[in-house]
Amino acid sequence: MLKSRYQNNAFVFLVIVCSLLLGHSSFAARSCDQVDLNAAPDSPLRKMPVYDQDGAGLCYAYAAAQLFNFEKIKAGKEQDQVSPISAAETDAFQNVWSDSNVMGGDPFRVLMSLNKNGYCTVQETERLLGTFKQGKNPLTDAQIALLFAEYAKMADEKDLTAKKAFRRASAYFECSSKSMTKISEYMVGKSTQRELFRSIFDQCPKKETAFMDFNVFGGSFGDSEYLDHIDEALASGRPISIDYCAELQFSKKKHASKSPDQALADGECGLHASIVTGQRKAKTGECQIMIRNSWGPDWRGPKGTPCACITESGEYQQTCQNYSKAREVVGCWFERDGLLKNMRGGVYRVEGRNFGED
Amino acid sequence: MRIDLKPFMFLVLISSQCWGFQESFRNFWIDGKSVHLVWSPEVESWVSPPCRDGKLQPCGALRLVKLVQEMEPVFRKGELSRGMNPATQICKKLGGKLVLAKTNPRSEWFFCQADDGSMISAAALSRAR
Repeated sequence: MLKSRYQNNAFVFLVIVCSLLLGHSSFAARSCDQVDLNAAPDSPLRKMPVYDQDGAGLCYAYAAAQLFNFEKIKAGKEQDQVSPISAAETDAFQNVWSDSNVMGGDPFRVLMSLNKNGYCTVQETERLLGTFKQGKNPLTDAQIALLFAEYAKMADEKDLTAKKAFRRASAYFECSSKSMTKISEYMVGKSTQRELFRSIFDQCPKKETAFMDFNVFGGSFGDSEYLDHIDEALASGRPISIDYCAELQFSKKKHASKSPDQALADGECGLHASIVTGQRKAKTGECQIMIRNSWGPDWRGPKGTPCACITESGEYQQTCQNYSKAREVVGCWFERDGLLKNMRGGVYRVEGRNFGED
Repeated sequence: MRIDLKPFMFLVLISSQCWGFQESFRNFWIDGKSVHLVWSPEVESWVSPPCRDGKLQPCGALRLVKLVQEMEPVFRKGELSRGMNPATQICKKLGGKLVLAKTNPRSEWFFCQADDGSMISAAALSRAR
């Protein structure tokens, strides 16, 4: 009798423990909800360019600008989109926390800075930087930022041969002599990146924005709670910016022999930011997450990675059938668990009031 | 009654030949000019017309592909930092010139131009590894 009572108690205890474990997300079999933010013909993503950051460390600004512009387009304010270079500038030079360097940053900080300081729209940026962005050898936002940064670096060294050295720097080969003349004019009397950027962007009529609330998370690699954030953002119909090892985009290894922390310390994990725009269960049964990178519309991840594209005729294909018919690749599908191992945090818009809006 | 199929077979032959000669091409807006590029199944990318088949004619852009396949390693540890695009960095490393193609809508597509003026999509260089 006593033994039987103990057996019953043990059984109840076991049931409680099991239900607790199953209730916890890390032990429960995680679902893989199908979401594809590109699918709707009127999706804001269809109205956004696929960027290429080239050799500039502006991934954070591109990721933040895309989250921000997604909201603007969704609200029917296409003309209010921020240019990536303005997003970088407002973060690097207009805050007390700024480190005065546009190369390298944090998407969340950019988004807060856009809320606080306002920004220069795409149209205004095109006007201000027209010399660099139009005509022969046009430059992208990233290349202009790189050009300014390298020029300022040389000038900052107070080296009389700065200009000569700059001409040897890689950025020089990407710009025309017209751009060189223009940048030389800009640089008169300026010796820092801040002075150079401000001299241009201070001419921009700043666009104010209603405060948008964003949720930021992260700290260590591979926390399973990150998937909850991805689910939450996608379920609300919004993209999410993630921080992860860039090697995932071009290496099949995924650091199987080494923890991402160790890989980061060893210089084998370069932190990168991109936006996630979908999730699906593949025919193989694996859960996949779509990443929209900022490495141009022909970027297709490691060999064999399925990617989504918009065809020449404007049709969206979740798995591109024929790349010769693709106008642009808009994202590639990565196995969820592999991504999670390489992921260190992220940021996404949360539903709520836009302070300052009626 | 016997039907002579020869004229029809001739037609079938001609039409299949025409089909075989069809190639995928696209015009990209580069440096203010419309530039005609063709699809190369070999490198699965857009290349300058002389590079299409990769064997019949010399082509600087395809030489870049060969060079990147032989590079070991392509990047030193930590060389690619802060999310730099490896494709455009490979192009520069090989001595190619990056040219920006304008596509719709405002997307930024980089091509790598070899010293003979031929071009290949920069991303194809990264895929060649």
